[in-house]
Amino acid sequence: MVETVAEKPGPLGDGSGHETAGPARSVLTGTEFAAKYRECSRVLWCIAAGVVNDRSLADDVVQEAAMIALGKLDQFDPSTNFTAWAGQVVRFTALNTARKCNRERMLAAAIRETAGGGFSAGRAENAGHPPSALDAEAFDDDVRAALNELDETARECLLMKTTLDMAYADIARILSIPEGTAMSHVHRARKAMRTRLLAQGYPGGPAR
Amino acid sequence: MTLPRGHDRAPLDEGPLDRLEVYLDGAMSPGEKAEFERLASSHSALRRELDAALAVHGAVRRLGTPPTTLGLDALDAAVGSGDATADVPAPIPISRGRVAPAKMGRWIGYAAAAMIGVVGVVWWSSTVPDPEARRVLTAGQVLAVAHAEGFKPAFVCKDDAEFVATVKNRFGTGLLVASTESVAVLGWAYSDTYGADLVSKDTLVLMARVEGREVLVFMDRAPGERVLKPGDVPAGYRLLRKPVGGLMLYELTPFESARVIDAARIVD
Repeated sequence: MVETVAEKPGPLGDGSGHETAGPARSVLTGTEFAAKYRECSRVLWCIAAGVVNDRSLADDVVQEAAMIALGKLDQFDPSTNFTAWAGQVVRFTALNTARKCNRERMLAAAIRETAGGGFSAGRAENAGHPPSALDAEAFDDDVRAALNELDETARECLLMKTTLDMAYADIARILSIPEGTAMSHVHRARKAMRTRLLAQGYPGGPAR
Repeated sequence: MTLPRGHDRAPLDEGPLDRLEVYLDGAMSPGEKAEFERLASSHSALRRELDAALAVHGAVRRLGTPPTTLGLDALDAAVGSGDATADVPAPIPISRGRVAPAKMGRWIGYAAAAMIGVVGVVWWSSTVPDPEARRVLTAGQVLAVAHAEGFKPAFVCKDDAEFVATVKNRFGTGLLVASTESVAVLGWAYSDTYGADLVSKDTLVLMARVEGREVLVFMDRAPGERVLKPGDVPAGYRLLRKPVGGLMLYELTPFESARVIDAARIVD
C-alpha cells in the first residue's frame, strides 16, 4: 500500500506479530516495542522538548527516535526501565537535532546579516521595553524565552512535573538522576523563571 | 506557618519560598494549603511570588503539554512490515564504474582495492566518530542537484538482473523496478556523492521519467535511520512511500499517485 508522507495516514501495522518469525534478539517484538513506546511517548516528548525547546521539533524527534530505538532493540535489557532506555535514545536524537538546528540558525543569521539585517534592526528597536499590556501572547513569548534559558535537564524535569504531574521519583528514574536533584531542578527552574518575569514587569502574569 | 509583625511589607526569606514550592508541587495537605493561601493573601511579597508562580505554571502547561496522541505512523509502518528485528547485512557499496580490471592485472587490482578499502575504513573510523552526525539532505535538495546535473543517472544497469543485484548488494534484498509503457527507469544517482545522508548513508536514489516528467525514488531499509518528512518536499511535488519487503521506498513525484514504487517487486 502506498501512502502519502505529507498526509500522515493511519498505522500500517496490523499487529499480526509477524516479527516474531525473525531472530529473537530481544524479549520485545516490534509490535510490543511499538506499544510500549506509544505508552510512554508523552514522557519521551517532554524529554525531546526539554532539549530542543520546540513543540513541532519535539514531535519529529520522538518519531525519529522511535525508528532508531527500533533498530537498536537488541540493545535493550528487559530487566531495565523501558522508558529510561527509550528516553536516552530520544535525548541523543534530540541533541543531534538541536545541533543541526543551531547550525541552520547560524547559517540563516549569516544570510540575514548579508541581506541587510532588517529583522535584527526591528528587534533592537523594541528591546528594553517590557510589554505594558499583559496579554497572554506576549507573556507566553517571555515564558518561552525563560524556558530557553534553563538548562536541558532542568527543562525536562520542569515539563514532566508541570505538564504530566509526575512524581519526582519517576522523573529521577527516567532521567537517571537522584530524586533530590530532580526536585531541585524543578524548584530552581520555577524560581528562575518567575524572578526573570517579575523583573520584566509582570506582577503575576497576564490578567485572566 | 507564621510571619513576623509587619510581614506584609517585609522581604521574603527562604522559609515561605520553600513552602511555595511545596504548594506548587501539590504536596500540601488541605489544611496546610488553606493556611498557606491565607498567609499569601496577607503578605504582598509572597502574594506576588505566588501569582507569578501560578502564571508561569499555567503558561508552561499551555506551552509544554505533550500532544495527547503522537503520530508514530513510521514506526507502525516499520513494525507492520515485519522486519523490525531481522538481520541487516552489512552495506556493500555499489560499484561506481564498469571498467573491468585487465586479466593480467586482476589480482594486483584486487590487492590494491583491498588496500584502499582498509585505508578507507581506518580513515573513516578515525575521522568520523559519529555517523549520525553526518549532514542531512532533504528530498528536495536531491531533486535540485539532479535537475542541476541534467537529470542524468550516474549508473545504469544493463539489465533487470543487474538492477536486482544492485539493490541486493546494498540491502540484502533483491528488488526490481522495471520500465513500463509510461515509466522509464533511467538509472541510479549516487546519494553518497553529496557528502550527506538522505535516509541513511546507504540510501539508493533511482531516477525515472513518468510521462515525460522527472521522478525520484529513494530506497532504504525500513526502519531507516531517518524518516523523510513532508517538509522535505519541494512545491509541486508529493512524497509517497511504500514498504516493500524489508525496504522502505519513497517516491518524489509531481503526480497525484505513485507510479514507480507501485511497480516495485521483490525478486530473490
